[in-house]
Amino acid sequence: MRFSYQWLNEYLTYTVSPQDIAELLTMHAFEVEGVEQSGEEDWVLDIAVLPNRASDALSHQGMAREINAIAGLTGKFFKKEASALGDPDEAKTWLSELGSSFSIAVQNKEDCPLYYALRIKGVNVGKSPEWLTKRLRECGIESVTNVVDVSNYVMLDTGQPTHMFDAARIDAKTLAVRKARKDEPLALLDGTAARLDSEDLVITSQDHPVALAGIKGGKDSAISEHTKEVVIEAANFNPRALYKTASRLHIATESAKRFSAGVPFATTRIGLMKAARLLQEIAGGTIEEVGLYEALPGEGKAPLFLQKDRVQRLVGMEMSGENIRSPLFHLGFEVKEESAGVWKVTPPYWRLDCHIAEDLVEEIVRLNGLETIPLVAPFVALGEPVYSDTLQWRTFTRKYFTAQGFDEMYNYSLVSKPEREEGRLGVVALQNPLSAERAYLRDNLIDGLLKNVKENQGLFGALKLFEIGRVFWEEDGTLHEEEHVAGVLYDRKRVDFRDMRGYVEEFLQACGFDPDDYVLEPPLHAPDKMLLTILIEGKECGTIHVPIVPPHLHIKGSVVAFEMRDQELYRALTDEREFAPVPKYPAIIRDISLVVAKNVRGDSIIQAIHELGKDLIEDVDVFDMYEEESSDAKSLAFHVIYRAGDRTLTDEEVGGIHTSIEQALTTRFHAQIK
Amino acid sequence: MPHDLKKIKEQFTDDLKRATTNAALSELTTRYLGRKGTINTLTKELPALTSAKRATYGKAINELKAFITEALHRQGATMEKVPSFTADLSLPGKRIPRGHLHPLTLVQDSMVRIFESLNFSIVEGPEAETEFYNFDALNIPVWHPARDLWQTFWLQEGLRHEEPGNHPSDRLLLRTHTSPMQARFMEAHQPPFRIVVPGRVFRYEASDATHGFQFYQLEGLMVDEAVSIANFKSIIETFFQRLFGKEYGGIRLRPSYFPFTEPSFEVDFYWKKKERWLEIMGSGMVHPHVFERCGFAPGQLQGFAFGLGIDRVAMLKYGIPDLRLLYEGDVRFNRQF
Repeated sequence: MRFSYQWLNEYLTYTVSPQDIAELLTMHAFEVEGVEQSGEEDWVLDIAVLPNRASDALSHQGMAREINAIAGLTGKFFKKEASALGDPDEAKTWLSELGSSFSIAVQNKEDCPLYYALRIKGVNVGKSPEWLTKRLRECGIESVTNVVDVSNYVMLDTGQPTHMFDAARIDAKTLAVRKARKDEPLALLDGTAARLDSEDLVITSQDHPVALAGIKGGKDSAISEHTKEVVIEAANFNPRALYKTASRLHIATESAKRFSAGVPFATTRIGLMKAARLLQEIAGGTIEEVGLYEALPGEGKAPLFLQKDRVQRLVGMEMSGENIRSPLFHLGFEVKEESAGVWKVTPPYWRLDCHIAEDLVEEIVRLNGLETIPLVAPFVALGEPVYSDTLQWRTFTRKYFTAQGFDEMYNYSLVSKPEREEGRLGVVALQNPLSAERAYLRDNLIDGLLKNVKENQGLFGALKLFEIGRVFWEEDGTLHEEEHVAGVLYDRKRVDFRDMRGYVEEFLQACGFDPDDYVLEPPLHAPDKMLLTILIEGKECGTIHVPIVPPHLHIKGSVVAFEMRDQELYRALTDEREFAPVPKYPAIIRDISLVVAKNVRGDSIIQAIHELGKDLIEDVDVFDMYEEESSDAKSLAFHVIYRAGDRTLTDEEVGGIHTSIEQALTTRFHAQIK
Repeated sequence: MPHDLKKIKEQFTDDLKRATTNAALSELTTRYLGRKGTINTLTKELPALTSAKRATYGKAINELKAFITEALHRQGATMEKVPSFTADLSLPGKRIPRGHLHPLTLVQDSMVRIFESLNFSIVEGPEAETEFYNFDALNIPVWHPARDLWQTFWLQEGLRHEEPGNHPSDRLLLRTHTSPMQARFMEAHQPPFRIVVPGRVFRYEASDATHGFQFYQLEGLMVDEAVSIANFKSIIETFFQRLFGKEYGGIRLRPSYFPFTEPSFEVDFYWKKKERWLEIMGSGMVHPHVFERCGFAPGQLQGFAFGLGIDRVAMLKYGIPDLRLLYEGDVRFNRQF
């Protein structure tokens, strides 16, 4: 809220500059976000009042009270004369002297424990005096008419929102407070129509809604230039009900903000008195009658008990009794020492936010100054910290992929509606998206990486990207969330599927899987797609595939991607590694080059070579593959590595086996050896 | 008949004198030590000899081989100092491709490591939360105006959470802070608690250079019978000192308000590099209502909680001017780290 320094200064009992105020408040109460000069004589302070103090400090009187308390405790500032703050007893007396001419019907006393309606006759609606419009403007409120300005001024001064009705357009004697009926019509001041619900509280005249209680007035009963008679409403509404309505309807008025936090009962009467007096002063008029409803809520506050040792334990330092008592005293709390080290503390009427001893500790430490608390290293029993497996594996995964030259990306979790592909589970939508571009939760990471490829392809001929992050989906009404790791290989010319398969397999082995712990298989339902599923212990842990790139991405070149449920992988790891002796005898390497039909699976050839060579084949490595679209055949070339565990193999022995393997492949696969 | 090894040795010594270039030396090596070289040829004569002669002659061949090898090696070593080609060592090295970790990963890791060394456990929680854990468990009931401090994305209606705790009928949302893990962790564990929780959070908020609808937080919680404000100051001083190193110039607390801490503080850190105070974390002493909701008796426990923005720290540390750069995937940006 924006505060006028001059206005505050009327109530300040110490000589403090705007800069002093900024410093005192920032270190002891509220963050001061700006101090600006306004004209020749005034300053505007922008002070962030958080919801716990909205009930007392969103007003010049309340803020001045806070500054007085802080400045007073420091003992560093000179005392000065000041105007009195609103006095609850004076307001009560004033009201009782006015008497009551009619009563207001309130349906439910919890919703509205206090309601005052003052009818004032002979009001001259017009312009406000210069001092008033200037103060409102400094606080960010434009002048409307003198009557409306009075209402705003009183709210900024005392914290009590009031409402001004044109008395000619309502029937004051029938004013009532009740819950709205569903879909009951009410045109608001700003010309919008409120969609009322049965939870909303309305003010009615002859049973017709004329205002949304505490939030916004109705259009039909608003003050106009023709207004001659005014009804001032000062009421106290239930914060909970009011907050619900205001947030449901997204109406954030200054009045709603204050009522949502709760307004002290005494403030309601103080505000009413101030409004009536100021209105008469600047617009004339005489009070004709008073309508009221007083549920006479318990205004006395239950005391809190404060124990010295609890305070010291929470703060972590020795404190004197005076250290504890004095800040509370300056803030207006009644403090009585019940016994040694135990105080009975009663908060002042304007403080609705103090309910437990810890609330008082906050008052004590902030007023004394948080810098007075020392730094003390805690004594703790050493425990075994849990560093979650998830985190460890994630770190490992990141290191692996960056070591392989992949750059790490962080994409947004919120995405546009994914284009449906069969087999995908339900995507999850937001109820209140910021835009259609960000209306759903991502259900995979590859889409984001493809977007990265799209945006970077103009700068790089080839890219290797990866991301680790959460994805979401819905299945049978349950929301699922899971961490994935995904990567893409992009090349403007061509990406070899086997490169990505190589990165993934090497990753699995780096994690600790043996080649026979996992299976990479085309899925049964779509064996001809460029897709392999990664199976571990029969469980699907991910895929390697050539993604179907949506045409709007305009990716020029080719992409191969993988996406894995990394936590699923880690769970399957048993972390068993066993030493095997390094080979003692040399290997002999022979190559096989052959041409086979395209539909012959390469892995079945490799498997056949292993079988045919029995124990003498250590490894078969594909080093070349070539196929043309125009032909039905492909050529493959393998390094076959022969080694015996107990002797050096001779050329003759290997040559014999090798020839027999070549012959066997020729018959089994109709291969042509080159 | 065996050859005269002495002659061969003399011949070699002569040849070696004439071999002044690398190429000549290499040729000489092949001629004497190659597969079809002198030494191998001599060796092939061995099987034809009687066993007595074979032993002496074999030994002599081996000695000759050792001599030649050693001489060639010595000559080679001197010659390497006179390179026969001109190497321009001033040229830059080859461009070796390297993958880069994201700056948020780097900063998060460094934070987590500090807390791990202070005996904190590292735990994580779900990004999609229930209304209960995100708000109610943290003393922010539905009617509380403080809810406006966390603008929220709500998920489509009628969904159940995978781990709903005791509140299965709650509405689901994207967590607005990492604080729900305070409640989830305390419900499931026994004190003392010393945890930090890194993670992604969401706010229903338009993006600009310093605000985003998505960012990362690090939550901290330290609770025992008597963990105090003084302890909090000590722990976070250590943390910021280690995180910012030479740029650290002190911390200070200011009063603040969070419904789940009482008292509550903002922590400012003095940044030597720019010579000013920066607001860096929200914190406070865990509110007794939060303990009660997690099943602990009043007065049994006390301790502190805090939350800080990882993105903000990354921006400060690396001088990144706009939060959105972190998520927009420009590879040229990511490769700077």
